[in-house]
Amino acid sequence: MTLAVNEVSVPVDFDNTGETDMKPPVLMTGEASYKRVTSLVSRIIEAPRAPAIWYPCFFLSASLAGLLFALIGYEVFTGVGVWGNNSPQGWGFPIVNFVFWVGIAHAGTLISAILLLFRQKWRTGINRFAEATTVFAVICAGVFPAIHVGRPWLAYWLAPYPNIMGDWPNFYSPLLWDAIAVGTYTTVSVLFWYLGMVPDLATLRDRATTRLRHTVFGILAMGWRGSAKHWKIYDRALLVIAGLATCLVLGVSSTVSTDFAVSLIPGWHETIFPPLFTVGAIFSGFATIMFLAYPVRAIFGLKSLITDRHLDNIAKITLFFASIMLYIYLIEFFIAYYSGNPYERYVYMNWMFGPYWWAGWAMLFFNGVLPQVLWFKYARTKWWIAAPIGLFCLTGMWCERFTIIIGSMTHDFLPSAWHHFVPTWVDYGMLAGSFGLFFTLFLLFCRFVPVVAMYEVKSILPQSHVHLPKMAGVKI
Amino acid sequence: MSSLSDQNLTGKEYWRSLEELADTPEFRQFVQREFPNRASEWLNGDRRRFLKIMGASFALAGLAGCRRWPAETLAPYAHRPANRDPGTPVYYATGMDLGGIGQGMLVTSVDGRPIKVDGNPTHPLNGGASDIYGQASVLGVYDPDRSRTVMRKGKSGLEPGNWDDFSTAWRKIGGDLQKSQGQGLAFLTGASSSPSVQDMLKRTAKAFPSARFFEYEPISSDNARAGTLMAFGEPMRVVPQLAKARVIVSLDFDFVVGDPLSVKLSRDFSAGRRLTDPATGDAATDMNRLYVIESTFSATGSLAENALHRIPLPAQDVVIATVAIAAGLKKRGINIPELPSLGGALPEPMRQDVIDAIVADLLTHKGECVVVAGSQQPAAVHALAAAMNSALGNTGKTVEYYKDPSADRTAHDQSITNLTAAMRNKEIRTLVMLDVNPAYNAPADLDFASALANVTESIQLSNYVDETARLCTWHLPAAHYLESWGDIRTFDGTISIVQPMIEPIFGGKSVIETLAMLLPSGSKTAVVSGYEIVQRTLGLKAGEWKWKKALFDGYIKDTGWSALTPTLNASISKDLTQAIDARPRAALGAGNIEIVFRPDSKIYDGRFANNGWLQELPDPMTRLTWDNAAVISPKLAKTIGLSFHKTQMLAITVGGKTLKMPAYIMPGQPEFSISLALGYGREGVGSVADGAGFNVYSLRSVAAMNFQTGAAVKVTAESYELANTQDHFAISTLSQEAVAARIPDLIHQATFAEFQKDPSLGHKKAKAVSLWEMHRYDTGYQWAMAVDLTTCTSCSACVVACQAENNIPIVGKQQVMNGREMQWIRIDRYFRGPNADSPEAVHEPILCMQCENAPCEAVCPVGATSHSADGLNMMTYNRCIGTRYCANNCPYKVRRFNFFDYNSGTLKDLYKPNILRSNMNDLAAMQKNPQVSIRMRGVIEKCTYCVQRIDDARVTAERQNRRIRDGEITPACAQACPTQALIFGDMRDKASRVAKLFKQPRMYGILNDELNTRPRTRFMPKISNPNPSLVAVETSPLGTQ
Repeated sequence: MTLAVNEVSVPVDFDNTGETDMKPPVLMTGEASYKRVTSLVSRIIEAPRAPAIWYPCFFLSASLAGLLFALIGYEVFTGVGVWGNNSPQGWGFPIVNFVFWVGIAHAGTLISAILLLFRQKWRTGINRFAEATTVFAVICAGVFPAIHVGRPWLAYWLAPYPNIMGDWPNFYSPLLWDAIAVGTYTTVSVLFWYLGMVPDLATLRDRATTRLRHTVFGILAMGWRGSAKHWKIYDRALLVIAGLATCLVLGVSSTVSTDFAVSLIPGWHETIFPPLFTVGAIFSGFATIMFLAYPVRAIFGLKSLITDRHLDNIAKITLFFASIMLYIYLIEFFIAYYSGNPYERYVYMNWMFGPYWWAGWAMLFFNGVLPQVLWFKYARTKWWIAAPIGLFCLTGMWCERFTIIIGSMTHDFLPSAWHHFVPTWVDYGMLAGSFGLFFTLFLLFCRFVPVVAMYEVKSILPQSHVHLPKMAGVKI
Repeated sequence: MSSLSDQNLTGKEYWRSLEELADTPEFRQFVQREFPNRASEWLNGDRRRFLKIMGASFALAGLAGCRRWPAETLAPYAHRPANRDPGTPVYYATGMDLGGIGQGMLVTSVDGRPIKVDGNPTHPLNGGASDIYGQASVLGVYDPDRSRTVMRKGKSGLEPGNWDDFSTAWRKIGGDLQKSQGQGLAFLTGASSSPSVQDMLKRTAKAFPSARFFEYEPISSDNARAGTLMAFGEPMRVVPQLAKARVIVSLDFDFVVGDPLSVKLSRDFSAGRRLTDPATGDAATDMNRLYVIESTFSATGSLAENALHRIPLPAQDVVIATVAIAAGLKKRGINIPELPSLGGALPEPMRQDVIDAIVADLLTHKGECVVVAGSQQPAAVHALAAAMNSALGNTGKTVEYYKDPSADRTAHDQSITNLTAAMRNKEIRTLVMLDVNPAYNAPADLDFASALANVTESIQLSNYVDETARLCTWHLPAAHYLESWGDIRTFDGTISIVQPMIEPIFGGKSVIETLAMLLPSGSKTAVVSGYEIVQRTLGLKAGEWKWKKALFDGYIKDTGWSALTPTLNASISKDLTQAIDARPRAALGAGNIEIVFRPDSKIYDGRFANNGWLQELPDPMTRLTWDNAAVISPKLAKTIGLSFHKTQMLAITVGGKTLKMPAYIMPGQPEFSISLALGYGREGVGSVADGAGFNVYSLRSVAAMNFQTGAAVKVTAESYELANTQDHFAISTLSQEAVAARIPDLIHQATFAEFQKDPSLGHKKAKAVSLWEMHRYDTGYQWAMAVDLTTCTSCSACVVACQAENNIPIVGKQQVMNGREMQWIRIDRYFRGPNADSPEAVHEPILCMQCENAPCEAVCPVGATSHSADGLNMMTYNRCIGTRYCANNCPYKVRRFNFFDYNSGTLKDLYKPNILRSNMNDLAAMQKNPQVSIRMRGVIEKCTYCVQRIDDARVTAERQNRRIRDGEITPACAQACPTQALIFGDMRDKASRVAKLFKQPRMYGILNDELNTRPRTRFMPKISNPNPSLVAVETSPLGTQ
């Protein structure tokens, strides 16, 4: 079959994962027209009803999110004691959850910003919802530090604002760095996400059939007309924020890791923590995308846009970071042994053989060992292997946070102060609730916001590159 | 004030114990004019009004003792009366009785509220120090569960009444009794050292000639009485003078904890172990040596020089060890009376070479050694100890004997038996029980409760509506010792006047006042107030110089007895042989286990069961709170299949009675001996006491008050959760090894010989190299504390003192299990030794180290914890938002977090949102130290070195334009410490005690080498003085459990 120039079309089930002579590779299957891109994405939003499965999922998520807020209310009115926190374990689940969610919040920005800077075209299919996971994960993460403090109504004292008491926060404290880093990151990721959406919102505005839609998307589109000048400024802005966000990707998790690395607790006091946390964050972010991409494209019929090649690439990155994780774990254990410091040695032994051994082994296995399956292309491209691995990686990452925070803290210097940590129902409830909040936001996003960046996908279709004549006449 | 809830509150009743003035119509008019609409509010227990009214009243002026302030102070302070500064603490000397021995106390009172009790610095027993009972007693005054009204038995159990009801009823009962000369009338009292109580009892006996008098104390020193009777022919009080002793052999005597004399004994004992004199900085040339033969691993046992100096033996076998030592002495030519031959091999793990070493040590220290015996050991052991002391020339030197103030009384166990028998025979129709609770603590086989049913009128005076009260026809609320006039005698007979600090909050009466009420009202001038009774008994008059001096000093000089110089009875040998032979000694085994009944280290015989500070105080050895447990040896635990990983319930059957209670596996416990602490398992007493622990009295029989063999134990399927502040969980082998490896770093230990060879104990002054210039603390005062691990006995007085001084809340059993206890000081306990059967135990008090390089300060995001120029690690509660980062980063884990609002509501509704909980209990609020903030939920708190005291002293010193003198500031912990193990002061002042101690090269900072925290709380290594022939085999630390 011969195709006319600018009109590339491969079957929807086309396996675009392999190396072909097609340059650039096929990143949209089926009929690769602008119109189809627009309609594939817009119809999700414009359909009168969401796919049937959306409703039970949303009901469940929203219920859990409701539980989260109810429990926050309970905690704020009662005290931190409703959790399992104790002495020596001052932080417990809230901070485990915080670090976990902050980690997840890294994939979107990485994909959008770093891959943008590295000119990885394939990112366009997945960057929008990856960025969404970032924003939602940051929201989930942000809930915890604010409420975990003993007097949440005073949590704003963390902010360096001029006040009549003449008090400034303590700039030595990693918690302050942390608050500032996460705050900045939230701002930048929301900006980045929103800015990246403006042209698509304008598309939706233009397609709107009802007054309400027209108004809402009209406001959100901020008067986008698609003029060349708009595009010029827009590209600049996006690039600047991408540059900022790239620094933040590397900075935020490093900063979060200083909460631990700057302390003197064995198992926390590690110079390797900034890279470990950053790598872990990116890893968990990609694992999230790997887990979510399959259901999203299946439910919303986006197989043409989120192709196997995308998922294959995600799996490869996941594998890459998993391997770094494994390496860092081994280094950590080696250094603990090599340091000759008995406190250090004991903590690492205790991670793996102490009361929380399950978390230690889950960390090592799910994050370091299991993803090695992704060396096989078969595993990378089969939803029933890749998606569960994504989920297991997330479990492993949560266990890693648990091991670091709880496994170390419960057994520090003076054995007399050792004490087990036992989570309460509120702890579990809030963990589940934070997932509820995440999925509630994510499901709303899928239903009401373009899941795929339409204009960006269009920009990588062959017809956008007329100077690539080889694209035409490909034999299939 | 009178009762807050008294039903029938008249002006007369209310002001009863004050001036006659109170009765005048003018007075009544005054009250009514002043508070015309508020009469009812006196009843509802509103704290603010209560305080307002109290503050404005003259009540306390009258109570202050000397009637220096007559009626003028009735009016609100338009003009401040002389010597009264609102908000300024005032100190009063008073006294507290425990088990018949008085302690001299110094009470801090603020605006009429006693808030802290400490030892009277000049009192012969206390010397400024105190024990946990004294420290915690102030909480007892404000216990909301205390009995509030007179109660009488009605159709539906006890019904509230008032004192008028009782006095009306007694007029009838007493009138009838008077006619019958008191036929069928009996009195039951507890041991009391009070001359006034004795005097009032005599007067009662005179008024009711046929009345019978009984005395019962569940923890009794009767064995010592019987022992001295055997040895010297008359019962005496044994007072070891440990300060003069260089070799001490304890025969099952836990003398540092839980004995009425503990404060004195600990202080004296530590005097011989202080290796650097803080005053001069000179090193000691000598150190005493302690051997302990004991049936339970006690705090005293942990002080024994090493594992070979502590012989764990079943209580029944202690006599064998005693005889063996005596026989050894006899063999070496000491004049010991003829002893029965016990024959056979020595019971495990007693070794002949150890006995020989003890004997040799005693022989080389004739006149400077002492053998002391515990109150639960039979009379024969006491007699033999007396005989040995006598033969070794110790009498009058290291042990003194004083006359027993009631030498002719029946032994407590006999007395309660006689009383119960008389009750069963219906010989007793009216029984008056004064400050006793026999239904709870009488031996179970007497079944006091059922015998009480035979008594027509049973009247009990008690602080709580307790187990006995509920069976009585009348219950009368007792006054606390801080609420009433009284007197006490200490061990040597020195009399102290007990003066009230506050009107009886619930309108209670003291024992003497109650007795005065029961006396037939003969003349109109009958003395009814405690105030007058005490004056009459002591022959003093209020206002006299002598009276004022006695109140000021806290005791009356030269009222003590002189020590006796008894000689051994000729018949001691025969009596001893008879006594020893008569005691059945069973061959113990897994099927025949010995049960030892011990006073609890915290709540004594149960009288302090409703005291939250004591309930939550960890036991020095088991570290248990809120419970007692069957303390069982690891070997026996293994034999009977007890789990080492979870707490299981044991069914203990002895004498046909079974008690189920949780097991606690304790290394160093004699194999076939199980130790049970008395005082728990109270019912219906109060919110603190109820549900805490198990009632061990239910196993106690009159024939075996102290220990009983023939018990069988069975592991049940039930498990139980104990609230333990250390080893909250089963420790894996991995952790055991880790703990073992680090203990030598945390607790430096050495022997006296090593110390003499090298006083630095190998500590080299390391030079800290820093990349930047460290802050130099070289101006002003630089506060520091030295902790002597050698003299620390783990008695925990510091912990309670700290709790009282610093308004530290209790958190309840559930929260202790969650690891949220709040005490600012904890006393860590570690075991070490070759095996779990006979380990050593070491204690280490851990409080805030006030690090110069404080890890907590850098990490606080809001700067709520910071360093003061004088070296204090400060906590700004107002600024704290509760991130708990500081607590995480504290390597010593001394920071405490308010997980809930512990000061409001009750311990049971902690998990309820605050808005649904009540405000702070009005009564509890009265105890709070106004100089220390009450912390709200969500903030961190920790030891401040009692910064409020530092600031007080600073203000005083600055006003006088001088520097603070050494010793002017004593933090609450150091003030309470009987052994001066805690020394506080300015380390920059070269002349200060702390600076002299800090100069000692052996001082070390915990984890300082590892973390360079530069702690200000530094430790002196634990030094022991083992007998050179008993240097233990290479000891490897065992870990914590």
